[in-house]
Amino acid sequence: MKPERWPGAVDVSIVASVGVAMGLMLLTYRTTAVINRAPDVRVTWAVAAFALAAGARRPWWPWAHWVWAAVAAGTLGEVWLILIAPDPIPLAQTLQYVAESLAPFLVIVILGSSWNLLAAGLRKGIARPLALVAAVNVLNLADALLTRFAVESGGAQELNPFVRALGLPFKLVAVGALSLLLYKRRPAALVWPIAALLWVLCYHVSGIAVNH
Amino acid sequence: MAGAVFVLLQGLLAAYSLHVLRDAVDRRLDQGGLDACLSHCWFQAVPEAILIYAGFALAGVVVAAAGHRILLALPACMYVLFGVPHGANVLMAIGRQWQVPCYQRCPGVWFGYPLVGAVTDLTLVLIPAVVVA
Repeated sequence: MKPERWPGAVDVSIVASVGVAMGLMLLTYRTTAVINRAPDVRVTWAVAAFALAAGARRPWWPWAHWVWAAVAAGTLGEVWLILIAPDPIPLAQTLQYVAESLAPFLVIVILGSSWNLLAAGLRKGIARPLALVAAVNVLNLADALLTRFAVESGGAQELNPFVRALGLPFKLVAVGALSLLLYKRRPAALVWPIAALLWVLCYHVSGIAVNH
Repeated sequence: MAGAVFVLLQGLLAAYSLHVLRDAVDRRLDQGGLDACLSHCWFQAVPEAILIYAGFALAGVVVAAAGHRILLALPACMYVLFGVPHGANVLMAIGRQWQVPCYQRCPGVWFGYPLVGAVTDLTLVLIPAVVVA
């Protein structure tokens, strides 16, 4: 096999993507800890390390990633034990418990390994910066709507003083203007607001999951 | 080959654990362990060892196939060596049968030390990945 450096040629899209992937894995761990109980730290590190090292390469992705998560979490062994030595607890209940304990690792391994897909997307975007401007504004709109939803339902407080004073349209216009400014001056820098807004959107999803 | 050695070791360790449990029951040191294990110890240990070995070897092979010659060891090492900052006693062997039961003295046998199982398993699961790389 021809040796290859990880993560390849380091550019802005790679750094942003790996950062987002790590942030999302951390967010998944934290969300699971709040909803249920913290996943096993040893397994989390092993699964996250594999996700970052392997990336999302075909033909392995995503089946090998899920197999690894299930093996590291001990799920395959547990399922086998259930099959050969049935428990007094009903099977459906046991399987539900097994699925609940495995789910965070499956999510972590998929989010963590998707960094090279995101990097490829961002690289394409840098070649066509108007697409990046559109992405920033769509993500910002989604963030604004989800924030409003959270504030109206009483689950969050608007801490941005400009938005509190001038309202939501100000935020949309300001981000639109600033993204156009970046597009004119340094289009490659648009990947940073995209990375940040992606993480923020996932944070909203995490908040919705916690509140439900 | 390495996989066969891994599975064989796990099978032998399961047999040894069963022997220790039976001995403990005879000496009235244990009363519950045998009931919990006797009917399915081997059926549990051998297929479980095959699944675990396949999973760990697969993780290394996937990373090796991407051309990362050092990173191929990272997932398995992270699992086994995670507790190293807290000392060698918290090393985690990959195969479950290394947890040999002990009664009057722990660990009761030399291969009951965490380091033995951890190093043996780590070496065995990384062999396929090293071959691919």
